[in-house]
Amino acid sequence: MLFEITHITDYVYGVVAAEAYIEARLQPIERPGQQILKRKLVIAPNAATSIYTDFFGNTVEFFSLPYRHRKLTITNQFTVRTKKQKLPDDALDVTVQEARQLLGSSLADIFDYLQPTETVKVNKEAVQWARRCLPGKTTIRTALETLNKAIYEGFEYRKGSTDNSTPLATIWREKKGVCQDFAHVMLSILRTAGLPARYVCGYIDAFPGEDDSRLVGAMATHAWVEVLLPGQTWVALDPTNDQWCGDRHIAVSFGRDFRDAAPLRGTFKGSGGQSLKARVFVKKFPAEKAPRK
Amino acid sequence: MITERKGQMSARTTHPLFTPNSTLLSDYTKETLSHLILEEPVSEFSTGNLGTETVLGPQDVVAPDLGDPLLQFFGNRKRNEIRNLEERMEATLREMGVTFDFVRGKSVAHPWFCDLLPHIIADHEWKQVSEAFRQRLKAFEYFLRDVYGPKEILRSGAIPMHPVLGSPYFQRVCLSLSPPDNAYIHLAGMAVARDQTGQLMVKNHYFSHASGIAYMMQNRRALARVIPDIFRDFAVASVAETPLFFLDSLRQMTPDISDPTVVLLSPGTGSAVYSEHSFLARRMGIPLVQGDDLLVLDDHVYLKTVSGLEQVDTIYTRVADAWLDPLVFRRDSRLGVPGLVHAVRKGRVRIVNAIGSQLADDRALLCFSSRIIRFYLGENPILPIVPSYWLGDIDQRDVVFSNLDKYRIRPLTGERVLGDPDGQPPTAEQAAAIRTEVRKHPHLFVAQEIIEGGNTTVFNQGKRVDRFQDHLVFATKHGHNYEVFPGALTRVSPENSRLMASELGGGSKDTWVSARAEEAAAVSDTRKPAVDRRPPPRQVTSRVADRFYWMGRYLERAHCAAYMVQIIETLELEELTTSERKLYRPMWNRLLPPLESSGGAGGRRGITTALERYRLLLDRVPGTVVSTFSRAMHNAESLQESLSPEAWGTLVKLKAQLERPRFRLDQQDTEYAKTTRRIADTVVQYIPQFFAIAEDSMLADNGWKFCEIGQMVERAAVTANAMVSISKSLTKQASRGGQHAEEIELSAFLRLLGTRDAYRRVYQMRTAPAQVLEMLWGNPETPRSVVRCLQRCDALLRESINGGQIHSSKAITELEELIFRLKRINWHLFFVSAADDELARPAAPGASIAAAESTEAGEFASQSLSNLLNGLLRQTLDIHVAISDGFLNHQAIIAQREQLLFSGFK
Repeated sequence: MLFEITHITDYVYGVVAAEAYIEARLQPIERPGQQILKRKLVIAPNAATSIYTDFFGNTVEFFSLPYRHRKLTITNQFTVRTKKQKLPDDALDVTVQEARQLLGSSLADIFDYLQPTETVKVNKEAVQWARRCLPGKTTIRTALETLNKAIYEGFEYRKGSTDNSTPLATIWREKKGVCQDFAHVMLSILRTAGLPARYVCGYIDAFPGEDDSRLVGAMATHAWVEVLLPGQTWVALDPTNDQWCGDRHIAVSFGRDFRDAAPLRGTFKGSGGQSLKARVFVKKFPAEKAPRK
Repeated sequence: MITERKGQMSARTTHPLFTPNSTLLSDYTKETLSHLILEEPVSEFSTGNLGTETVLGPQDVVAPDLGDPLLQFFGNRKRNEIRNLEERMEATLREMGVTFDFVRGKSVAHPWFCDLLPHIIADHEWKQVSEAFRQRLKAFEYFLRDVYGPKEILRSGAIPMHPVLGSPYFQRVCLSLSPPDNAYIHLAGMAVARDQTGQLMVKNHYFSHASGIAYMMQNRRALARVIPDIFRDFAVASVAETPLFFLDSLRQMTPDISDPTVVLLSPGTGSAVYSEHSFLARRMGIPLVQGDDLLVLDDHVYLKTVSGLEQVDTIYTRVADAWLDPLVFRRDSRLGVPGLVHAVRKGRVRIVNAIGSQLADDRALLCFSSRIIRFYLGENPILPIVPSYWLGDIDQRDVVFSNLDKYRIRPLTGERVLGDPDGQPPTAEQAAAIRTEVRKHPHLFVAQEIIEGGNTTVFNQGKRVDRFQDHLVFATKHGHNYEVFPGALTRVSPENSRLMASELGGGSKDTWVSARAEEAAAVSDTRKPAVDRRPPPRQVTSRVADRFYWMGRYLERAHCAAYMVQIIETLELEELTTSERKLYRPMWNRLLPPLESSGGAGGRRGITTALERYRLLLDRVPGTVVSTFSRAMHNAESLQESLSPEAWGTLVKLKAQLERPRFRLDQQDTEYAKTTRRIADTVVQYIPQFFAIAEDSMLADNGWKFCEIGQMVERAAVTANAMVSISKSLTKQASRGGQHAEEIELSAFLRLLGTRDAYRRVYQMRTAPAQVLEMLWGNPETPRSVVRCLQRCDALLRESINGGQIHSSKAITELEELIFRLKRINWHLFFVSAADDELARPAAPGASIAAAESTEAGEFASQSLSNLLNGLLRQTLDIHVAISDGFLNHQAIIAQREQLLFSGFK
């Protein structure tokens, strides 16, 4: 599928800000099934970006505005071609227990994806869910699908019900939240069970799919989860939409949780507060002619 | 490479899951000198009288030629002689300004304490300690490079993974950074102590955070001043060059830059060991800076100085990793510099010790240090560690929990000890509390066996008393090896305590290594630092200038308000008739708000009743004299090392005076008036006194200049504000008639500004509006006139610019344009019809357009006068912005660069 994504973020400061330093994790990655055709980042007022790759493999664009400004607008725009990838059947057919053992040999590399974080903590419920949905003897495929469905059914998606500072414990208690919360819940269960998993931030198709169903969470950045399988393959699941991710998901940034993968992170000097408004526009191009076999 | 896997760590850790970066980030907010505290009483010598054994330990470990004369020296002295020497030692340290957690102006001061009796490290032990230190540094340097890279030690299973990757001090960001000069550790410390058998043991690593070097040097300097005699007979190795050696290695990191800019980044006066930071910076001749002094621009780091932005090449940081950059680490950090890590990543600046090196100080790794040494060096450790156990391991935790009396439990870094505050075995209750706390985050705690044997001797009031001690040694990287500085900071416990902190009265000893031993132990013979000691830099950072500037402004503001209150009290009491008061009072109330406006206070307050004046002075809300003064004081405190003691003393006295009266709102008017007069008199007397004393006793550098600039800017603003506040009555009075009323009002006005006498002398006539305006805006001789204040600013700013700095001269241009304008305004043109003809002078040639336009009297003129006054006020207040932008926050220079970017370079 071919999409054009436009993601506009406006910061308006209460009082003129004297200095602002921002890190953007908005550069979509290039990988099988996801090809970036065109991409630009527009910053107003103008600022030059300086690029690096972070611990989680994200391309980070750093920029600063060390002078007075009242408003900052960041526009991320790109065209992407997606293609459904085949799931790694071999890796999915091992049992949860075998997967744990196989992955254990590379603990030094996957350590971070197994640890709770400040945001994604472990609680009793996560342990219970892990026991229920991810028993050692089932195959990884069944376990993941069971868990994905359980979260989809056990939690209510409600827009605006939470924000970035809502603790995970509240989500567990009230059983409702947004995509970010669904992803965090899933991460905490997977990690409790010893399965390495990471948070993904990205965009999704806003239009009805083949079966005419619409995906939840299309008007803003979306979040889902990737799980590492033996053989070092990541597979992606979207608990908010109860499905494996495919050509309707566009991955942008990764991390242990939302805080690592946040599209924008920054600091500014000024006495007032700030208000942030983010909008995502998805344009879908008519289906391209399938290339002849 | 030998990889021993002895005593494989149990796989049964507490919980399979870890909480890195969770709660216990310790107290690294502000660097504390907690590790200069002797928590663990350790000693090497038996108690008793001052025989050879006591001072110097068993004969066999002492170099006799060093010890004997020392014994003779003290042995031959009477108690009162010793006591005199102690007093001289105290006075000397105070005079040298050696403090520990000592905040000036607070009642509890902590001057540093150094014992008269030095500690001597025997030659062969020095060799052993320095070799052990080097061995550990090498091993941990390899370790850091490995864990921030291939992680071989973890893959091999030589040490468990959790204490490393789960440590709050493991910095993931390091994977994208390269350490300066390819090394993580450049300046390091290590604590050693003895057990009951006399065996030296490593107690802690301070590899990333070598606090205490300045204290080691100051002890030597102080002792040499107080008892120079005892140095005469022995060759004690010198520690005086220590900072220069280190500076040398810092400068060598940038071989391609001929004269690199190196700075010392400190958390500021909030740090207990700020005096050490300041001492080291002075000794190395490098600027001592705080986060606010630095700015990241186009991936480079700049130091903001009053003479512009200066590129920084290397930063020696005393701010811990977690606080270095709010963009990467703790977001609430105000000690760091946003964007700093990115500049490191781009190789534009070097940070020493490298970001991430703090991991080497994690106590959990101390437990595994023998394995780390064996893994990387294939050697056995030269010195053992004090037996230590990481409580993230459930077996070890069980052992420790079963006998808590035997251990001290601490977090991964810092010196906090769980349990009894005096270091006694925990009570049942305390033991339960320890268990509860540890169980919450077991992996964040380490237990260390209590190894106490005897103690050492110090002098106290001329008497010999017993104390515990341990030793901190320091080293710097030198090529591919480490140079251990020949000396140590010996930490001595306070009285009656095994655990009490140095801040509560613990002390230290000068520590001697013989020059012979040093030579034997040194790794190279290039002992002379390549850099000469340079005079400390005189450039003043913008932050310091900014603090001075605001101190000047607040002091002047407090003074103006107190002065007005004082005058009004006098007038009320002595001079005015009831009808005159009626005319005065509105004037007072109109003058008041401008005074507050810059303080940002919301509510209007009055000045007409005794209670209102009392509150204006002493209420602790923004805008009052007492709170304005405390803002000035707050700035002054952060400038402590730049202020002369005399000037500081004046401020402290005034502060005490202001704090004396209790603020109470249940008094009689007469009581209010009495307190008000007394306090107003004091303020009016002390603040000018401060400026006079400072002028006489302060170094006339750019820092102090900005205090005067602040004073002048504030004064100009007060006068300009005052003029605007009376503009209505100036123009309306004519129609209201009553020349008497007009005169009273104007002369009240002049009096409140302290310029009535000046007016009489200049004009020798009754008070008239045009003359008042002319004098207070444009007369360069009149005190407090706007033009006089601005001219003084101009002169001061011109002095502080070296070379033609465009950005700063912009402020000067603005200033001079305003001065020019003020001098040329013909105020009489506004009053042609209202004033007598003979008073109206002919218009000056080329009078300002505004004035020329308003030759017509009446509404138009009054409208224009008020417009003109408001315009002038705005221009006067803008001077503040121009000065800030040009000298203090560098908005001007950056804005210019940005414009260049827009205009086609990019």
